[in-house]
Amino acid sequence: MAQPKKKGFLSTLYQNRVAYVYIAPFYILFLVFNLFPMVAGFLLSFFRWDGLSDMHFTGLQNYVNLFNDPLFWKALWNTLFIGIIAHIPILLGGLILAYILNSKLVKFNNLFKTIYFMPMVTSAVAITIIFSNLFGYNYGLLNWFLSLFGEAPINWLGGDGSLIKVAVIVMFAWKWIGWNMVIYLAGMQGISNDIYEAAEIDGATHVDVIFRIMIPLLKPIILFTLIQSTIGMFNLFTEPFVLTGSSWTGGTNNGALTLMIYLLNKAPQGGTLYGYASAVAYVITIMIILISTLLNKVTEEREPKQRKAVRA
Amino acid sequence: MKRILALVMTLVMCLSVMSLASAEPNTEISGYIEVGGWPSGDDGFKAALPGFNEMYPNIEVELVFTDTTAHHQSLQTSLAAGSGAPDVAMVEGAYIAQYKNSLALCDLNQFGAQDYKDDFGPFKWNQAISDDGTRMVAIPWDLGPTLLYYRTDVFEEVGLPTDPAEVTALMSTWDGFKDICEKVSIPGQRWALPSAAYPYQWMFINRDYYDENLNLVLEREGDIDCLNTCIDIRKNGWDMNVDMWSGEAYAAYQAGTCVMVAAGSWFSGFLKTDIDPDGAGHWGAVALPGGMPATNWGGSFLVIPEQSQNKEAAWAFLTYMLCTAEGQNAMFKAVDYFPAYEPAWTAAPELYEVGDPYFGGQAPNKLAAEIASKVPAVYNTIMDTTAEGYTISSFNAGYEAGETAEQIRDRLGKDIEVACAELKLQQIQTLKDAGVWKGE
Repeated sequence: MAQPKKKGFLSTLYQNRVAYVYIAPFYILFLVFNLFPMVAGFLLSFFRWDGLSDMHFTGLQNYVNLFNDPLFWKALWNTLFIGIIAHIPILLGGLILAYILNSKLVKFNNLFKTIYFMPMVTSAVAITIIFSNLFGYNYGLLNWFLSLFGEAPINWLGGDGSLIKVAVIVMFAWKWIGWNMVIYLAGMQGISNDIYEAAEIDGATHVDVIFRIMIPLLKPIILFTLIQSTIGMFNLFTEPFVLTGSSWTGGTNNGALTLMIYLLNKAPQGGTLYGYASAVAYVITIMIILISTLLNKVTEEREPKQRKAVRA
Repeated sequence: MKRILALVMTLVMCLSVMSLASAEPNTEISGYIEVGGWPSGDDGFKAALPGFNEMYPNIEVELVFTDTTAHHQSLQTSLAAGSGAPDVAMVEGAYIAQYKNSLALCDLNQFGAQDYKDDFGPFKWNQAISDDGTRMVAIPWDLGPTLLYYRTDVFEEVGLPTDPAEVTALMSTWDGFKDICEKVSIPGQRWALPSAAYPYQWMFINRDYYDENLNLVLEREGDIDCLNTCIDIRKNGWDMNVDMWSGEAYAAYQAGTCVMVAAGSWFSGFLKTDIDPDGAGHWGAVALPGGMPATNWGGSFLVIPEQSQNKEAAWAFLTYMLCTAEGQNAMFKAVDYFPAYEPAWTAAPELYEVGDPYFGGQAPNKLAAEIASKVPAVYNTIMDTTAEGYTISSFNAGYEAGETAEQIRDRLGKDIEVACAELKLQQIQTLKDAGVWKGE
């Protein structure tokens, strides 16, 4: 019996109808809630639209205006500055904490895990109250501490706007250290004990174990946290927003204006510039994709070089 | 069976007696309407609903309330989508410029909205009219006549008069205001204001930053004197240098360590219920200092979306709540929303004329009514709220950079123009669509 070589698309679909019904929930939800907004947002970024009146096609105008807006560049600079500085303690701290908890030197492992993870599950409102009390100008805990040494109070959240970045970095790092620690810990526990034992028998020191066994084996996990952190950095919103008292300017001199505050201020929370906001969102997305790809490339290429350097 | 019949008969009798009791209930308009907004508007409506139900026994009202931001977002989305909006929706004063040209909202002139024109002050009334002047999309609910609240106990302690009339006289010049600031302040312990920048923000609290040709108008009568006062206050450490809505400022109002703060008259309600519930007798209120003109700070509106299936009932609800003294005063009593409907002020003297024990027997509502009647019509745009955000931060930045009053004003101008560039393009587009744009 000769089988027909090519079946029509519809008949394949019909033949596998049961399977398609099974996977339909995902695809329907994906189409409605992911694909449609993505495409609609992209199209919207070429229009000027306030959500209420007529849409006006403006071509690339939104993108041109965006790149000409000094506030956009300021927001990008702030985001990168806060994000990169904050991620040094977040990633290194997470790694060190995970190593300590994994090393069996510490008792009450689970207690510490819970403590470090607490900031992730604490309500944003409670965190806000604590941190604004900490960094308050007149009644703040930090300034009270400074006053013990006869120092004048520092206006962390106000002033000329340069110190608010410190407050944001502290709050951001405090919140995310535990999350990264848990991921690293999971990664470390995935490394077989045989390897460590073999290394010990061969006379490897602690430093050797960390830099030549653990970190190379954790590389995919580290890459994952780096990409996650990149996304987290571009999404940075709550911490600066609450520390500036819900200000869309990002505080004095736009000191804590991040890209996400900039975006949401255009639409839908501050203003109603839906077309422009879509353009901003697409530019941010492209930056995230670029940086993630770059991270992938860099870590791939560096591997052999690092080994050489260690040997030398 | 008999029992049920008896029950039904009693019910019918009760209903007929009830309808006889009320003035002239309108039974022609009927149906179900949904009313949307944010707290504490719902408490206001609940207080006025019994009266409304008596007048319109066949209209069923459901209140669907959420927080301010979520309400405006979902209203915006459902207006764009063409379905899902409530039949009557609240719109906050800061958002009205976005909505006044929208065709998704009912033109209330078709129901005879202009009949009520003389009952409302020009400030709020004009905010609800489209830029081409043909449509009216909202009816004003409440006003926020700007008042300066002060701690009478601290004033007394430092030997200042506490009587509102005397305080007003003392504050009528900026030098007088600075004297008061100096007297009430104790460096590092007690401050006159939350931020020295606020007097400058009060200059623009009508949110009229732009004129009809969309030129930024920052130069006002007395603005440089005002800015110099702000600079002096900051220099002398008489302000806390924090946001007036911050936790620190709230704690200081309550503790009497921040002695003065200005806001719309709705702030009376904030003080009584939230900030300083035990503070009866140590707060007073006066008009703004330094000879500043009468201004309005906030206040909301009601709109009827075009998609409403029962516009007649919605309009009946809206007019009962906002355009009758009973409706407005019932809500005012419940939630301190100062009526924009002026006949309400004289209809219930006990709410306006009689002294309020919280304010030591003073009647701040009477003062609010006086101020409200002096507020002129202004021009509002979608840039105003963004511009307002910069008054404080540009002042702080300029002060830190050691700038003069003129330089700070220039800096504010530049900051606003940069931040509002895109909004301005949208505003021009809206005016073009309305056929009233005079520019290029």
